[in-house]
Amino acid sequence: MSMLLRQIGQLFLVHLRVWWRTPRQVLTGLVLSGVFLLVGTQLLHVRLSGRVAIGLCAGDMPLLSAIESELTALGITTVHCPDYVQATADLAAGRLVAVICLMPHTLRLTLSGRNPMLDREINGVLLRVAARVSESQPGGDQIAIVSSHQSLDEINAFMTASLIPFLIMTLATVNCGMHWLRDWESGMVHTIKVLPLRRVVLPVARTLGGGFLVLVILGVSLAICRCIVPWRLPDRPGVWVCVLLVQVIYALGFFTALAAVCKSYLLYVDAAMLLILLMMFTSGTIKPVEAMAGWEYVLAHATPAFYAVRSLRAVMTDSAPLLLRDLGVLAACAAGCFALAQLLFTRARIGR
Amino acid sequence: MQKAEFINVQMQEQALAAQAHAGSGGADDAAAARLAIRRVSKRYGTLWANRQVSLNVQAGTIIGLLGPNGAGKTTLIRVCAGWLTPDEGDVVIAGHRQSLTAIAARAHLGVVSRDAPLCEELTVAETLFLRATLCGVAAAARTDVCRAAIDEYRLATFARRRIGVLSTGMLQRVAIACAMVHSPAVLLLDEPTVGLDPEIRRHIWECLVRLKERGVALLLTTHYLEEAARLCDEVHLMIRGAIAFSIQPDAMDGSAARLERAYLHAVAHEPTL
Repeated sequence: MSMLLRQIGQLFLVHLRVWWRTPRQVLTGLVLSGVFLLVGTQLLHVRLSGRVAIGLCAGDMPLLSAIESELTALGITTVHCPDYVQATADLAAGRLVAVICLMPHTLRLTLSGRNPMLDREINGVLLRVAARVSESQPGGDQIAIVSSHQSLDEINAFMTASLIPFLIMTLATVNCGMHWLRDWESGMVHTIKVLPLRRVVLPVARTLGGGFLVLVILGVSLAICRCIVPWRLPDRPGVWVCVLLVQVIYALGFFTALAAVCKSYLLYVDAAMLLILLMMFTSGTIKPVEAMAGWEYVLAHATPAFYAVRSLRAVMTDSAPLLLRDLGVLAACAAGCFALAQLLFTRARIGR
Repeated sequence: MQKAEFINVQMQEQALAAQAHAGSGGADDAAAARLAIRRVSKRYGTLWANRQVSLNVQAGTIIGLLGPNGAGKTTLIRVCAGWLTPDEGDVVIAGHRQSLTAIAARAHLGVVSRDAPLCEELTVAETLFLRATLCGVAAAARTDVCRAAIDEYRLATFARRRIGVLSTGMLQRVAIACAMVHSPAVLLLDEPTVGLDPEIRRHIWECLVRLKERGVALLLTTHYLEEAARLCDEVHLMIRGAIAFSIQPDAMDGSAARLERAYLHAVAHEPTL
């Protein structure tokens, strides 16, 4: 047993040593992981900037000025339109993204419909602005809107929780699955096979080495990300770390099995990248699962990444209870994948 | 002309002797042999790469496998290494039957082959140390074993260089050192001197002779008749997956030229064999 552990330990160290001796890979992994979290967090968060121009149709001038000043304060460009017809023509031509028409007791908001995500954000912003303005107006009709406005920290935590599973999957692709294929294609698997080792030594050492690297890169990139984009640390750090560990194990198992099935570097890269992209759409990261059509909903629940995203969001934002079922699904998926990979590794043959 | 006929007659006699030797299985020899290949057949689809091959390699002997490309030499090495499972027959290494899970058999086996490359990112010293650990060399002896291997195979000047930057000659010496780091009883070598300059080749020959003197059983495949004539105690010519005949180079005074004539004659008359 001690010999087995020593052998696994030695191969584990070799895994780390080889990684450390490829500085380009080390640097690329660390830098791109940090950039992924930093840029992704910002990109996923829809923000309205000066490029967003909203048309204002005259009506109630004091109210119009109040809305205009509120929008300008948010960094949104406002354009005065002589009449509603002209405004809708500009909207159709793409010069405006929305038109606000103010009439007595009525506020009409017309959206372009070109980008649902943008429309949704404008809708929310204008409702908040309208509510604030109407509250400030003396007398007249008032619109009361209660908005569950989240702080920037909370939004960042939510976005980061959505991205971490994909960062883990990408790191597992590179640091574990690709090493398996490299062993396979370079013939290292056959070298190991003539040594007096148990079959389990190489897969276990590779998985441990890959998992360790994924955790190190993930930790460093999370630290960098949190320094630049602030987000609140989870209230239950122990649970958070456990969820992260389960996700790392699941990702290692999944991509190890994929590597064992593909047995070809190029095929594996194609399959891994496409699967990660596909899972990004089906996990609820981009489109809320609640808004999915029937078949999309079923597909989402058949995707392990969905459980990864949901569990991490729950623990990082405290917005929902952490479901042990999510972690159970991930653990079961990992166990199945490791078993498949081991089986395929054992059956690896040399020659024609 | 008379000389050629003499060689032919001698070859035929030796072929008959070899077949009789292999056919009977040489039960006593097989029991004593460090490496016993017993009626091994291996098929790729409809193509028989090895057909009823039987060989015994005793301790302190070098057995050579000659033959044209595609004759089945490398397949036989792969079967002996445990990479391939024979369709018929079996391989016994130091009393242990070789199989995909035979750790005991592999503990007595060293392999030098292009099918078993070394990790390019590690240095020579690290590769030796890793191999010693994986092969179960005791922790206390590991450093000494590696140091001895570095001295014996003249690896000191490039011990700290990475495998990926080594020349073919250096690489081959490292491969032999790695294969021998756990002092196996049997060493398989698949064309160990291909692409090497004469000096390095000679050095590798010296290493192999030293191993032979130390009691290691060596089975090597080669295309170099001079190598076979100089090193091998017995040379088996493989054609179409079967051993066509066997020659003892000593009986030919270790003459590569005579071995070459015998080889070419056998290959030219291959359909009749």
